[in-house]
Amino acid sequence: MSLSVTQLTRQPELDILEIKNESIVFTLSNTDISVANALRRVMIAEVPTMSIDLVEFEANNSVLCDEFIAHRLGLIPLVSDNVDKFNYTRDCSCSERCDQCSVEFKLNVKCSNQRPIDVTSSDLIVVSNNNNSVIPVSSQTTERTDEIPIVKLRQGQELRLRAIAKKGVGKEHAKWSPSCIATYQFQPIVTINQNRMDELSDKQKEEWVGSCPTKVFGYSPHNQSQPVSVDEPMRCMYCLECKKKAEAFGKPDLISIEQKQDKFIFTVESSGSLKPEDIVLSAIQIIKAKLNSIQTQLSEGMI
Amino acid sequence: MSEELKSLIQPHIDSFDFFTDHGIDLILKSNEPLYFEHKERQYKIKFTQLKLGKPVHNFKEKEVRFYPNEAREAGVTYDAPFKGEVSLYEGVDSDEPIHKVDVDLGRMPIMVKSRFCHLNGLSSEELIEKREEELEQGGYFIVNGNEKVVRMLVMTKANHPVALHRKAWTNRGPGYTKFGITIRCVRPDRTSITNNLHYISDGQITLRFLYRRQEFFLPATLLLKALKDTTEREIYENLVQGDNENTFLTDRVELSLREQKINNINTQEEVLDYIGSRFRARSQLPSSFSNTQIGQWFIDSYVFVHLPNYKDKYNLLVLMIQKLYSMVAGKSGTDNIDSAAFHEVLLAGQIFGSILGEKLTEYLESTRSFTLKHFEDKKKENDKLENVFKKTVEKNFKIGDRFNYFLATGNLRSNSGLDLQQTSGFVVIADKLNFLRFISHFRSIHRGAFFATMKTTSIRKLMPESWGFLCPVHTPDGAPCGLLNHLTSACLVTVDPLQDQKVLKARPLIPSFLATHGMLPIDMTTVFSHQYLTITLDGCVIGKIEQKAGEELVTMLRYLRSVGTEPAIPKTIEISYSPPSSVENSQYPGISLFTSGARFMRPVINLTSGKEELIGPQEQLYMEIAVVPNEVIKGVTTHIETSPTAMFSLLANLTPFSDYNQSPRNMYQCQMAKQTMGTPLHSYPFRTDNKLYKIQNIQKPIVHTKNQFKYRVNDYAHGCNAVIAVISNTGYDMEDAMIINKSAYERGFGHGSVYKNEYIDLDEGLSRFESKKTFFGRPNSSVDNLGDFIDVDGLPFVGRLIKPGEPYYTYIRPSDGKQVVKDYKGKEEAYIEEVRILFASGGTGREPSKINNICVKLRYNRNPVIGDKFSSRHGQKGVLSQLWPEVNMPFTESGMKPDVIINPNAFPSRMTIGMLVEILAGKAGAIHGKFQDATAFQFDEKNTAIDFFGEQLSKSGFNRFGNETMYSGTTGKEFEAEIFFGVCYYQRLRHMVKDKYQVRALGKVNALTRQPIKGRKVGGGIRFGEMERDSLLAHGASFCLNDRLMKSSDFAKIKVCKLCGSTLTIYSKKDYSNQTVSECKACKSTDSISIVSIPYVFTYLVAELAAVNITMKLTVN
Repeated sequence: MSLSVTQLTRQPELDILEIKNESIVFTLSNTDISVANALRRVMIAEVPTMSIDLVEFEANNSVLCDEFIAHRLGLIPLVSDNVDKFNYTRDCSCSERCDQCSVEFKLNVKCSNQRPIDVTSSDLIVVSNNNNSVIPVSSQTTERTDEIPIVKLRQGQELRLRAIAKKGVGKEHAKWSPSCIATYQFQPIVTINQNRMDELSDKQKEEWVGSCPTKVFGYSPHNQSQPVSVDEPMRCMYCLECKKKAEAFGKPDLISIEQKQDKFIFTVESSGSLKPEDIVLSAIQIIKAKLNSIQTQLSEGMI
Repeated sequence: MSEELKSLIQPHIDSFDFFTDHGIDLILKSNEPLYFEHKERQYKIKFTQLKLGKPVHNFKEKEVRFYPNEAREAGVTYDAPFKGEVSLYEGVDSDEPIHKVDVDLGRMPIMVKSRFCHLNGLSSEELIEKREEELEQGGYFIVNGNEKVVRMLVMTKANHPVALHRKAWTNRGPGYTKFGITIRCVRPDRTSITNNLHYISDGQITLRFLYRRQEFFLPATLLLKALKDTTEREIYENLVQGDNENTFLTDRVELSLREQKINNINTQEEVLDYIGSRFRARSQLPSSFSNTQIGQWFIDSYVFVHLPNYKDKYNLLVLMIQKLYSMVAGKSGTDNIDSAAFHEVLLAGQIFGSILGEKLTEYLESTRSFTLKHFEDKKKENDKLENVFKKTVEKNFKIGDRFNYFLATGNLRSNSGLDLQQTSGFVVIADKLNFLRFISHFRSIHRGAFFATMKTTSIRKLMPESWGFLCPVHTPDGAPCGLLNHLTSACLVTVDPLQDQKVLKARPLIPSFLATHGMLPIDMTTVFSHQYLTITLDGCVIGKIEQKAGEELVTMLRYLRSVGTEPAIPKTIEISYSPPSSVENSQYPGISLFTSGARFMRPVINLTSGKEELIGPQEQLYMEIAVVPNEVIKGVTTHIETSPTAMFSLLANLTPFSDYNQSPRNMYQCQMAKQTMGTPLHSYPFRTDNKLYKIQNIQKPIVHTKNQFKYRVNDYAHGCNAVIAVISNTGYDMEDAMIINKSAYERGFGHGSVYKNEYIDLDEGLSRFESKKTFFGRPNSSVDNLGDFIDVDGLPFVGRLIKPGEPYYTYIRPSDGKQVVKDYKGKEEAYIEEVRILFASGGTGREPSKINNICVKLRYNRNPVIGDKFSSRHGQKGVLSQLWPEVNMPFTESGMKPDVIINPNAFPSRMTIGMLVEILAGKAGAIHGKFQDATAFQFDEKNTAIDFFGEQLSKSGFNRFGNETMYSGTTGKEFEAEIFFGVCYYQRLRHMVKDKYQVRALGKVNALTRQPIKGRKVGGGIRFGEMERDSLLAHGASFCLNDRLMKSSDFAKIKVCKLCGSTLTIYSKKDYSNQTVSECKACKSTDSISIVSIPYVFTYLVAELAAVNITMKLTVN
């Protein structure tokens, strides 16, 4: 099978469908699975963010042990819009750590009330004066509704610590992964064989339309003139329930569902540390940087 | 507080309360005096008072309350002072003591939360204040800091004659047959004596009892005469009951009366005198007792001891003889003593009572012997008896120590055996691995250690009689299978009548109540009709009733029991009725009523009254009980179960959809739930258990059963809802391995810690004179460079991570005042969680600056590593094989990636459909944000679980079977097959690689053979055994074999003499140039020595053979 001219000369295209605070949906077309999957993998594992990586306990007589609190602190998403301005600690010129590669927080809470109190992400206070944009995601807003609880303290209990956030990637530890979800699906092509459809009774039509769990098809039994239509093809999840139903009616060619192999619908949800569109941008940058690095190495090798 | 949880432990508490409230007094009353002669006068000694106090200890010369947690943390026993009074009487019949001595009997261990415990009746807040769990239920003892449970043991049902066949009985004497009747007679103080009735082949019957571990036989008709002043004619009539056509019976009764007649012994007086004369030499009663008195004493203390009245004993013996003849004639069958119908429970309080009774006698015996010994010394002959008596009493042993020994070891040291079939294994540690394991200890019931050694499997079988009382699922597989059972969650154990006023008041009313409802009292006449049914009440024959009337009476009694308004019929009475039947081997007919304690009972619903009624295991056999409403047959069914899951124990009821699983999988889950790393308690800071587990990120299961809430299991969660994909993906999921998403692990999946407590006692191993002189301290703190490791007081820093081999603590050596550093000996790094300063067990306190006894709590980090074990709740365990990067995990269209991947091959052979349903239900629950009820038997063929949960999934746009299209994380391509994907509750099991791995390069060797030693703890190797050897031989890998068995084991170079071939005759000597050379003493040659390589054990073999005069010669080329 030879490729057509359009396939040979195709250029990848990106089409944004929806952007929200936490998520982005876009289509990537005219490209292959390998590219789409590379983008997905980079968005999960290689886009850098800031996260607490080192905790020094000064006092902790809460019910949770040091390691557990440190682990919880690590998982708090920090606003990482300026992550590019930081160095990886391993690449930084400093000996141990410096303001170029880390942000220091302190947490000092003691419960003196009768009632137990919650220690939350809002109690983390930035100590470093280089950059105060790296803060827990919950501290961005003034209303304290989405605070992330760390531990509860009862009367007399105290938690005092220093926490150091560093730059890292999800490959190393999941806490650095900026995306909750980064996934794609193929665009489905759903076609109804209307001739076959006409052979069904109204009741059967209704039953058949109802068989789809995601409600891809539209049919109104009261409106005889309107045929069964494919209303929401994007919702299709290839469960083939409609196909099975059609087979049960003895009409296997009633419906055909195919995948458009070169069009991917991406969904990316952010953990809050980066804007969803920035995750995509950053991922593309990283792929580019990798290719660049190969390119330079190749050209250097040729000399 | 949780009443349901309390009810699970109640039998233990009730039993101990019976001991403290009634048992001690009853034992005191029934304790027999001891007699002795001194200077030709008769004396008698006796306990006249016993007093158990509440747990207190002395602090600064004041008595302060002693709370259980103090005992736990200090590693001592939770006990209370136990005192008594021994009196000395002059003369055998005297009631006026000439001397009384108050004695300290030591300290008696007290059951936590019993009436004598200070925690009894405290609210949740108060319990927490006393450093206990909010849901503390007690039921255990604290012995040397360990929590110990006296296990429930199965006993033969008290005061009920059981017909048996036993081959072994034929060995008891000439003519003895396998036929017999056994009855375990239980006194009001719950001590017991077992009597047997044996059938002799010629038709006679003898009664057997044990006295001082020796067996004695009494002819039955002789005993009848001893029990009642009667005639032989009356005995004949009583036994035959007008059934004169029954020549089988009449012949044998006649023969017995004739054969067992002894010349000139006819009246009761004469018979008692005769029996007394036979036993006089054996008994230790004073010589002033008449034969009749001795005879009476034997009958009182060894024959049918549950009935004080001779007339009752007589009637019971008559009934038992009738039952025995009926069995021999083949009219009725044997009873199955292995079935729950003939069982009751032995609990802590009863054993305590028995031990106490025996120890009191022992105490008196040793007092007597010491007193008499004192006077054997001619010099002390004239000492005053009272003074000597007082002195000997004071230096006697402490009874409390014996109880402590019993609880600490579980061993019973007894002269009589206490009518029990075992001497050890009564007590187990109540392991707080997780809440479920802990609570299960209190519901477990053991058949007895004796049966564990039996080769036959019949006792292990699941009996239909135990339906509703013992759980068919919750028993371990392997050695204790079927012997260690668990009570169902609804099953209760009755309290003693003395503890229940209603029962106590009802008991005397029952005979007259029955008499007004058709029963003919037993003393009405001698002959009723042989077809009449006998009615017994707690093993006492109270009357006879006509068959039809009997049946109606039983129905009425059961109705009254369910309603609970009739004062004569208490709720916990068991109304056992075995109807007359023409079926072969059917039970001997009769009506038996039981009001005693320690019986199993369980609730069912009486259809006539519509109320809940308690039934016992013996009556259940002949009752028509429907499980579900549509099983009810009009006119036949009388009762219905409260729930179809009433047949399960607490644990078996926690398995979701267990009705969908293959049965053994549910058994495995019951075992695995008890091995789960969970939440054993919440009071971690106040615990010093040897080993405690804690799992970090716990959740309530989305898919739960009703019991989860009822018994507060969710307060002690033991797992996590994991997103699971059933797919054969990488090969790392083969053979029950499971893959965990690395990111899920990094977010906290399965994280946990282990806590261990180390007691460091500087006086350990020192003599009494050396002890209390060594103290922790660090006088050289300025110069020793240990500041990073140890605080100035010589103790480790709290919160510090300590690594193997680092300095641990320092102390001051008393001999020279120098500082001694001790290193941390553990092989795993740990955090110092707490350092606890302990005071001496006396509790007098010591200056805090002088510490010589501490307890260090260490915390080990135990996050999942490859090789750790996990399991779902369906007996599907698996080993973590790989932490797989999230990007490589398959993902669904919605972007979900599984936390756990398991292989689909786990399902076909194991048939755990319940797990599939759980995954489906969990998925639907997670999507809709609601918990799903997965109690067993909710769904049926018409209304299936798949439809129910599939519908929920469909509604939210998912495939109704839980399948989803998935994409490969590595290639990005869609999988051809749809993948079963959902949410399942996962438990982490306590078996961890860190506790089990074994490696060795160089290390210790056995001194004799120079081969590597075995054992993980000591750094030994893993045995390369015969089968491994065979395998290498088969492969022809001879160099490998040589390497394993010689080079890497006990390789040695040995000198051997080429001339004589001996290895034993070679000596070293100095030659003329003062160089060491070897010489064969036998050949007198130094040139013939050569060196060979052999395994060193060979020299051992040569030496052993030489010892039996065999020489071993080596031929060396």
